[in-house]
Amino acid sequence: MDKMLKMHFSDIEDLYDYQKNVLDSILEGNNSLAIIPTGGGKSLIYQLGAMMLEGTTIVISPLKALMQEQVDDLNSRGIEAIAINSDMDFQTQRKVLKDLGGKKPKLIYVSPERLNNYYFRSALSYMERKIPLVVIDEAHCISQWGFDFRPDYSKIKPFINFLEGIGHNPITLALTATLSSQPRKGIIQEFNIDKKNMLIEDNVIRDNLVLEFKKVEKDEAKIGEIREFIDSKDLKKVLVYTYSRPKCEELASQFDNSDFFHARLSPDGKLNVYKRFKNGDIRVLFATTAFGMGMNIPDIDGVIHYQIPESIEEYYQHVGRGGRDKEICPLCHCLFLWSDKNFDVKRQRIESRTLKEEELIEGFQWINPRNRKGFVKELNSEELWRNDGSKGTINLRLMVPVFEKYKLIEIVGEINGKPKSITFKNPTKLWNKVLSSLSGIRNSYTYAEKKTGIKIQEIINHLYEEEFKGNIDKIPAMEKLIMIKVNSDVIPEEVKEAILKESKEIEKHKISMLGMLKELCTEENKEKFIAERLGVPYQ
Amino acid sequence: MMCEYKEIKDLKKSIEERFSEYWYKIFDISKANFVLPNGIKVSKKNTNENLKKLEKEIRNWEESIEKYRDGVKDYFKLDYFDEDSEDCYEYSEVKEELLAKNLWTVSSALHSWDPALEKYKETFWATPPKDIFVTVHNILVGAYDYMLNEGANIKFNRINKIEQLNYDFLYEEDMLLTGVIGLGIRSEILHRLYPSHFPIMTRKSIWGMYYITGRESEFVADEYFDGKFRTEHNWNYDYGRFTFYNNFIGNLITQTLLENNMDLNPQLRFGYVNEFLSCINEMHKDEVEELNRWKLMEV
Repeated sequence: MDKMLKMHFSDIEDLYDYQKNVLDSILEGNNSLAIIPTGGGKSLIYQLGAMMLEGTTIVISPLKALMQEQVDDLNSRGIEAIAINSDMDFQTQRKVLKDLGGKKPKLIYVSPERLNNYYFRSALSYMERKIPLVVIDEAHCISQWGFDFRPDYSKIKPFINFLEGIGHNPITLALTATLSSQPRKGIIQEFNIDKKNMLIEDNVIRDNLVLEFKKVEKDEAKIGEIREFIDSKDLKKVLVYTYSRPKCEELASQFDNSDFFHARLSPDGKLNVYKRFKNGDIRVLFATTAFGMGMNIPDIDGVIHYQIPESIEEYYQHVGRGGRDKEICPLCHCLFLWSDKNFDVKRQRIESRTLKEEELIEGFQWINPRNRKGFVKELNSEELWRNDGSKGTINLRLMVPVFEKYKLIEIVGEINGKPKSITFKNPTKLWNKVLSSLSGIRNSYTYAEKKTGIKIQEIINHLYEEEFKGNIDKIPAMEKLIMIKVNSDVIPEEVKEAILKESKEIEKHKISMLGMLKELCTEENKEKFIAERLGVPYQ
Repeated sequence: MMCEYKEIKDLKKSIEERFSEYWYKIFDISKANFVLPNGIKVSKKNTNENLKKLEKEIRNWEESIEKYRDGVKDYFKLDYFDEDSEDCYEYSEVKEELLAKNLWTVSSALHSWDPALEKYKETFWATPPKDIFVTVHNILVGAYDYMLNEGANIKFNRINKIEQLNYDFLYEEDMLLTGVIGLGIRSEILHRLYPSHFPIMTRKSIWGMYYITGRESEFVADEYFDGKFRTEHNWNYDYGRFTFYNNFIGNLITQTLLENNMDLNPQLRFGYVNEFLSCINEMHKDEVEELNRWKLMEV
């Protein structure tokens, strides 16, 4: 371990004990869960692990910007690593995947939305190397019980099953900075992690965060409070959390030397703001939660909550962005502004997200409108993307993983482009047969299967075989299909009840988490209270 | 959007006053491929050579109308909407292929960069495919019945009132789908199938109506978005009324050509009118562009 550290990471003197413990656990072949605070050297664990294991490690991470940063860093150390994510243009992704067979990367970074993609999967099938380790970075995103559930994370378990299906037997390492007990249980269960392999770093509760809570009567008073807080503490680099994009922009316009950061900014726009904040060109940054995981700025000396989060876990992850390097930023002052009304509104939001019976029926009808068991639905990703429960839409993005969890559906893969939009350099017999079966507006794999008798899976396998041979000229970047096999004609009553019950339980859990956050506002020993609620040591 | 409509007789008069002027101008310019390259005066004094050229251009119009119609009319066969038929479309095929790719009005909206159309895109993708399928089916069944029962009885050269079009079926429930299938998109479906009886209400044809009526305000509407405004065609214009005026123009075209011993194909009646109105729009395209440009609202 030490030899490998010196060889590849000579700038790092030694590993912390907890890093060694996690490494030992995976080297012994144990699926493991590690809870390590932000800035605690999580990435070094799996990078070193990847170097010590034979084959290619796959790192699943939602942090696209960070991926490239790590790949560049590893490459500069002479370690071959590549990244595949949706920020890369489609043709670049194609090229990287096509070249994969001939390369021997020690690490592949991939964003979770790629995991079902046929081209990615087939590239792995063609790669003649072992996959000894799958790392799930920011593992708290897996849990529907947690505050930052991301539906794409539900693709991880089927992806691991896929790897096992093609002869790999990877160990799973789930990493996160924060995970309360309920989501923890879920992850342990889903990834077969023995409790003894759940490793929690002793110093999750940080000693350089000064936590202040202030009750206000109205939101209007918060602007004055922010100004006073920044001035009285003479803060130099302040992060202010809001939960609304317009609010973020509006507040930024009211403060000197400030800017905003939210998901609607382009990747370049985000990078630009991030860099200017990091360099000290921006004093106050108003941000939504889009500014979060993976943002590594060592000297944030103020974190303010203009709007409230949903739980202590989420709160602590936010304030954890501050004071990351004690040497240059010994203290980070954190201010939490709240009112009773803020908590009422948050509670209503949580309730509104709970799945309702009619919504479930509508969602399932969307996927299986003619109640056909065994039917393969080619769901347009545009539909999935736009139906996220906002602006009066139904929450297909949430329902698809829920249906999958309850085995009502099975995602059999994703593919770019309907048959007529794919162009071969030299059309094959099979492809000509597929195309000639599609008269008029017909342009689906299911219709081609019906007319030709060639199974969808065979057509798709053929497509990616030809892609890797370099025989496909054009694949549309924008047209993505999620192939969903429907296992049931309708949702059976007992399954419906189970889904609704679980959804209600999640709501109850989240409301109780919100209640704890409110308790925290008036609690005297905040750090102790947080540690107890998060189930981590308090020293 | 409610709209104050002007008296029909006044508008007819305006159209009549400008018709010849535009007719001559259209056949004098050579910007688009369906107009005559060199000056033709469409009157009894025309030379045979000019008349031949005019006829050729009219046949070009016909070719373009038929091509436009033939491209997709087979896709709208009722069999494809019959749930009991083995060949019935999947709901998503109607949404993603028939509408999104084959109807010009939908595909151009979905591919537009105009921020005002973002709402359309959102609603389109958030609408269950089944709802779209059902609405298109209703339109097709309604149009089919109309053609069967009313089609042959409509005497276009004798229509003096909007009611004589017998368009009641178009005002029934479920013949439009809020935010997804509006009057313009529905008119494209109807026109593609039966250009003899239904005009197409597009941006270009509505702007054409605006100019041929002497800049009549009922054909335009002011739009406001994000502190900006612009003047846009009135996409919510009453379809029966639009057909009525299109028919009036159709009569003028027929009459003019008859004077020159030329026949029109009655099956393509509203296709000619659409070509004519599109030419008028083309003649004013700089002004349309300017009116259509988003401008900051003055405080």
